[in-house]
Amino acid sequence: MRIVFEKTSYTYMENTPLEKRALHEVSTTFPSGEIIAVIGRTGSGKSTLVQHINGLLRPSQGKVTIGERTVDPKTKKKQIQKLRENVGMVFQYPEHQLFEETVEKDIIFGPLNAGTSEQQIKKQVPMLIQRVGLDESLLHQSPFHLSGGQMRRAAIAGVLAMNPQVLILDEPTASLDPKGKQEIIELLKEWHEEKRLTIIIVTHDMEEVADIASRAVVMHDGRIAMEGHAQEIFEQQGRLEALGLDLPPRLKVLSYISVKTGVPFSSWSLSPEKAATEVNASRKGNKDV
Amino acid sequence: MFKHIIIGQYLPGNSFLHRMDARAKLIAVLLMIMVIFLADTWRGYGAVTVGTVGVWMISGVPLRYILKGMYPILILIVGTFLLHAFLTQEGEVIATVGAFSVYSGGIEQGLFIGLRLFFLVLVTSLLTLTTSPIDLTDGLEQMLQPLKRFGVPAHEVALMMSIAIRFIPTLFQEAEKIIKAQTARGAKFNSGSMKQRTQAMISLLVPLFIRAFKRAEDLALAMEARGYNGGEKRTKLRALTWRRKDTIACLIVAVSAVLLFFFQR
Repeated sequence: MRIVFEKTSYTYMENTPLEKRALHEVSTTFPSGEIIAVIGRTGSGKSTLVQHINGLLRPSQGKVTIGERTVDPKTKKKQIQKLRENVGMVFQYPEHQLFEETVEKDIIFGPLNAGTSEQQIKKQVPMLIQRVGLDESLLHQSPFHLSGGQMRRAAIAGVLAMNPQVLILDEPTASLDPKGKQEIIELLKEWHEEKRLTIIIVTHDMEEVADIASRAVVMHDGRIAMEGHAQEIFEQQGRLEALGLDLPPRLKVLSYISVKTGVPFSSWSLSPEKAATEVNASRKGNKDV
Repeated sequence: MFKHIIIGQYLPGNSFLHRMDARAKLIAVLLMIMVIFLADTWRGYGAVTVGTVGVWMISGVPLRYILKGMYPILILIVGTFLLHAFLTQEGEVIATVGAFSVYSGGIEQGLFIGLRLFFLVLVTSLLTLTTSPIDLTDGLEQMLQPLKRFGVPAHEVALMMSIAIRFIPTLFQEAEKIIKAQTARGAKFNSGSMKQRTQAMISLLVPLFIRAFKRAEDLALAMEARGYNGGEKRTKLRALTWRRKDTIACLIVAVSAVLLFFFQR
């Protein structure tokens, strides 16, 4: 589903002394079926922005269009309910929302709320649990007996179970080890290839999205500072640094090599192996000439 | 959702009440609570009203702020009033609703208990609104000090209180986060059937409790790791100072309490 923000503003605690404006007339479009990275420092408004997409927040001014549904300041809560069934949201530390007696029960909580029959959804659970990389035998265990990484996958499975057309993830890899991070990213990649849904990843770590995001939006002070193809965004290192964002170490290394050797890399998100191959290829090319 | 809860909240200011010693305020509030429980005639409640309103006026806390905070307790007050009004059978019958008869004594009793609750919450709210949590626990710790001889763990009680107060906002934040996460999974907190709402509440309470226990464990571990061992011979960074005005304030409250006791007869 296509998501369009039109002059969307949001103010927390409106009309109180603690009033804080988190979004200033943001206008942007997230094309359908892409993986979009929303990048920004803490407090830049990135979480506020994405919470508009499933109606957890309603804009104070302006409007947001998700597929065919429009949410503006006057939209009723009842109408938003339907929207939530199409837009899945994985919050930061999703393992904090686990509550059921068994992993299976927790996974089917969302679909049951959406009105899917218990039989129907239970058939899909074994497939889901495998997709997120957990063993089927864990289904009947208490979610609180899982390890941290397993809990996170179980929680993500609970959102995927709703089969959303738009999937939003807020810092999905926070506080995981590098292997765990990679596995979550791989899982998202596979899910995207199969379902062709729109995925929005909120992060301040560009490294983790460099591989999979096709578009990137950079937030700063409640406004959109940069947007466009992910590659183009990552190339503008000076501007990213000016916005207080840490560049991925990999990107720093690649650009250093590029400057020193004059090798034009085909992409800024190459794996070390591919980068080495390109350097080699380019060297050979130079020798030939 | 939790914007209106003022219990335990502190409103910084510079009124006479704000500048009073925390111990003096604690004593005064204790006395006032006793007075509120002693009052049982209209004259008594009239005097209590004058007293509490007086205290509120010197506190400098905006009326709107207090009334807003009272709102959740209103339900409790109305509920108690109705219970007494319908179940007390004294005086004359005023009206009959179905199988129930409302007696004049019931109405009176209901009003008294309702007012009593209202003033209790008001007085204690004024204490926490004008005293910072740190001062409050320090004051309490020092007042419990003499009881140490009888095995009352004064420092530990105070520590527990300050930790509890410290984590109230954290719990609220946590609750709001979980509510959002479960709402995104289709939990219905404000709409839907009774069963759906109960289910939604469970999906909030279970994670909330688990997180709270986890956090308590982490905190205990962190304190032990740093070698925390209670209040043994520790000095305070900000010592409480008892001034003459504190003595006077306590005396005024005490004298009014005694006067009220005779006045209401």
